[in-house]
Amino acid sequence: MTKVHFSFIFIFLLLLAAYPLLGQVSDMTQAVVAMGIVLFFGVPHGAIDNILFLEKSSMSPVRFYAYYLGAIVLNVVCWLLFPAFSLCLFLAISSYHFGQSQFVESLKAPWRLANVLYFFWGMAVILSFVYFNTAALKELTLSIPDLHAFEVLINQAWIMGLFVGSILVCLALLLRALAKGILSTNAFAIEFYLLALICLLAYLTNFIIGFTLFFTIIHSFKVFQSEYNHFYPNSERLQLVPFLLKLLPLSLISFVGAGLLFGMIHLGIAPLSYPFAILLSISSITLPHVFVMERFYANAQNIEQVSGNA
Amino acid sequence: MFFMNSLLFTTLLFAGLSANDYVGFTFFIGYMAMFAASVFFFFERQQVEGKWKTSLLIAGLITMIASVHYYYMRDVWMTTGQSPTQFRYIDWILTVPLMCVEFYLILKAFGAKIGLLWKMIGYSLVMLVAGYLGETAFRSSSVIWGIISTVGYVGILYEVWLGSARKLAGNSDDPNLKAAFNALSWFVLVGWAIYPIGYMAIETDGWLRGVIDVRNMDLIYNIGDAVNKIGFGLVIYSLAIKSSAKAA
Repeated sequence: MTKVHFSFIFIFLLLLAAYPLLGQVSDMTQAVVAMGIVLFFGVPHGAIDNILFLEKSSMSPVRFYAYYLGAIVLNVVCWLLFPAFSLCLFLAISSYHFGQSQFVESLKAPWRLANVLYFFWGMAVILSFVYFNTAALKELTLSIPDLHAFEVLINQAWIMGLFVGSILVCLALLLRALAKGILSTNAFAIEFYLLALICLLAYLTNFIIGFTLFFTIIHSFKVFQSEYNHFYPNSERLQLVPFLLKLLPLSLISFVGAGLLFGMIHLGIAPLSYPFAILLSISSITLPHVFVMERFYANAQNIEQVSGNA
Repeated sequence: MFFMNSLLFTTLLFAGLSANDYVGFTFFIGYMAMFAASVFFFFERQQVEGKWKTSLLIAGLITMIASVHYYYMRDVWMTTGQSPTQFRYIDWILTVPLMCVEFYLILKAFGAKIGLLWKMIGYSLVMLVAGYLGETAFRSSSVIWGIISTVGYVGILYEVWLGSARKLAGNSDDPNLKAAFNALSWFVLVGWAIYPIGYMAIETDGWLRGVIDVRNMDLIYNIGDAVNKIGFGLVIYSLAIKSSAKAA
């Protein structure tokens, strides 16, 4: 078990114990605090994409930023023109990315089904939060005009089918990985336990609290850990300040950007709702981040293979 | 007097245990299973090497103490149909620290210090005393006591999964010890998790009360107690037998 897994279990148990106290906090306050946590931890975990990409690439920084910003602009246009399709694409890409960060370091050898496992694990996790909160999400889409486009996606029967299907495929792939020796027995047991815990979290808590806990600890902290280990692989002392300084510039730019967007909404300049703007912002930084991380993990695996062969 | 007691007991059994009282069934099964396990551990103590005798004695004591409490709990259930909370906590306050002692005993040969023992016992007492106070004397502030209790439980989890106990087991060169320690760690992580969940399902203010019926919690506790305590002892027994065979 890693420190990230342990932190998740610790906070999950504390949250369960303290949950009645949370009931005294209004939904709006919960949503604002949860979004703050997601942005505070979520944005920085992608704020060194530039460093991760450029250190192993011959591409010029200008070209990299042009592609990066181009992907963001393309994503924004896509969301404004085809919101339902964009949401599906965003969830599919996020599913793969969540699964990849979860398993890339625990699979002991290259495996041709690894990408399928990444995708279905992430899908099972996302759909667990959607499935157990379908009614609340439906109500949200009906109550906010620019979310009406997503209403067609919130179909209880479809969501249940996809959720159960993705859980079953994920479990079958985990068993396959175990049988082939790609996943150790202990790693399998921990992954199984964590998946059960995530589903339980989705069942017992509301969407905002459950997803925030998953996203912040299981995903963001895990990626932080991989990034930290990449920069300071043999450091005996905790190099927190230098690491945070690496995260700072793009994090600040992102926070300012998000602040501007929300300010424009508040002033009525941007005709969007806050939930739509949050989805738009998160998906815009997720899309290029996923491609950078794909390359980062591939490089890390190549290095491991080379050092393993040597 | 003895005859009267036996008659009363038999009357209680026939009057109280209906065919569909699954909770009552598990009180009986738990009592007998733990009694049988105690006999097994005490007798098998002769078969193992000297350094494992104390571990098996403790394993036998854990199931014996639980078995005696289950004897009383069964009666409470049969006569009142109520959850025997007080007896449960008396049982846990005695047996859970003893299970923590087992961790220390198996790691002692690999350099475990007495501090580890006291730390584990301290965590377990925080978990249980806070749980008892929240479930009985201070129901109006049960959430706060639940949080304190959870911190105690997480302290034990930390020690066995990431703390000094895990490091000692990881540094040992004995694969049997590593496997046994791993199994015990899973008992703590999964098996013991039923207790905080049960706490959150308590009748008046537990927030899981709508999700899990308190009667079902007794069923889960009874099965969980039997599996955790007997299973814990069997892991120790298996380690002791393998280690003794290797030494011979």
